[in-house]
Amino acid sequence: MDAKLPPVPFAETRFEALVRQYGRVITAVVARVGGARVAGEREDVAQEVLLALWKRLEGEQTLEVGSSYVYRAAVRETVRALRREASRRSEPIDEETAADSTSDGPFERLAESERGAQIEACLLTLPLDRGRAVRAHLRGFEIGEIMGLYGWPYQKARNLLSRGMTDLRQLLREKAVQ
Amino acid sequence: MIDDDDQLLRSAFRARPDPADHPDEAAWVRLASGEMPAGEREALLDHVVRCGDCTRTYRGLKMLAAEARPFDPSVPAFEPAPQVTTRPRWLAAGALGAIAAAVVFLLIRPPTSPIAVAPSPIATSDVRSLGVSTPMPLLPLGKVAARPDTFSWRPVPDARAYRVRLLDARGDVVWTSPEVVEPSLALPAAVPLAPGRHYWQVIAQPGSGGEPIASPVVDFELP
Repeated sequence: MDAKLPPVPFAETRFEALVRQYGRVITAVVARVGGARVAGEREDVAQEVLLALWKRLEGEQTLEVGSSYVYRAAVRETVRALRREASRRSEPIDEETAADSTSDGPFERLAESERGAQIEACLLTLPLDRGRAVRAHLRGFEIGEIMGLYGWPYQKARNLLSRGMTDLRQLLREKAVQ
Repeated sequence: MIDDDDQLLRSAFRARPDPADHPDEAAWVRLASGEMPAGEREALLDHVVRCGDCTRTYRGLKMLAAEARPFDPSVPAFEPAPQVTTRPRWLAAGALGAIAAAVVFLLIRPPTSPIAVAPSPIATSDVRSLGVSTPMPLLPLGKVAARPDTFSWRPVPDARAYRVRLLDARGDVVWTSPEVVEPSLALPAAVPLAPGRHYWQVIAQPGSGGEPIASPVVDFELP
């Protein structure tokens, strides 16, 4: 009777294919976010992620197997995989962070951390959205990413960042910490 | 554009220890699924921009959503659409004036013949460019108060007949309807529906005898 109909959705093969696709994407995401340090262990990460994703899907009490459910499982597994990678090694997770660091030894790092605390103290005195825009910028988010974070249009994000950075520099000059 | 001064500020800002109150897995799932209320979302993002580990998690989940969307249409929008910029007041006043003038014109214009306002037929190519060559389920969708008694969908041109396929929460087919011509169909009382989520799709049989055209799979949830 179903001979003339397309294949049934959520059939086992489709489900398996979906999980495999998610496994590949999670592995790629972990490798990209983890940077060079994960690249050499990519195969191990791939197997770990796929196995964990299957276990998660098999172990859940619910029998619902819609694709949105797999997505949610994939989100959980991505969070876990990134946390595993973050705790696996204690050095900075990406080269950008390492390159940004201007410190050499523990004393210099402590001094830099204290300057960071003074920056945060200044940001707390700014209007809320200006502080948000500046923190995102200092964390390394580009203007397009800042727009997405808070749902701001381009001009608003640009203005908040520009005015916030001006305010921050002024405050730091007043505190003479720059 | 990042200058040296910015670079120094960034370096110092990132040298601070990350805050400890990281979002838990459930919070990340709600954020990535677009289910987080605006206030809670802002609080989570305020943590993200202060925390190196959570910045990486946020970026990772954003990549996951972007790369999964081509093969999994259920992936929701990860970020809210940008707010609409407020228009100047004079523009709003002008728009209101135009609407008022249009209303006055419609009220005082002389009656016209029905023939004069009959719409022209839509060309098939226009229809296809609008993406209506695939049937689209209309009802039931989402949470429903009671067992639905009818399925309805947007029809497609040239369809000879339609069939509805109903699946349970496990994805097993519980009912396939006989062929019908109209874009709606009664659900027989004999078809069992348990509480919880169900999925369904409609399949158009082309009059030209080509391959059947299946709609996207949608779901509804019974209390």
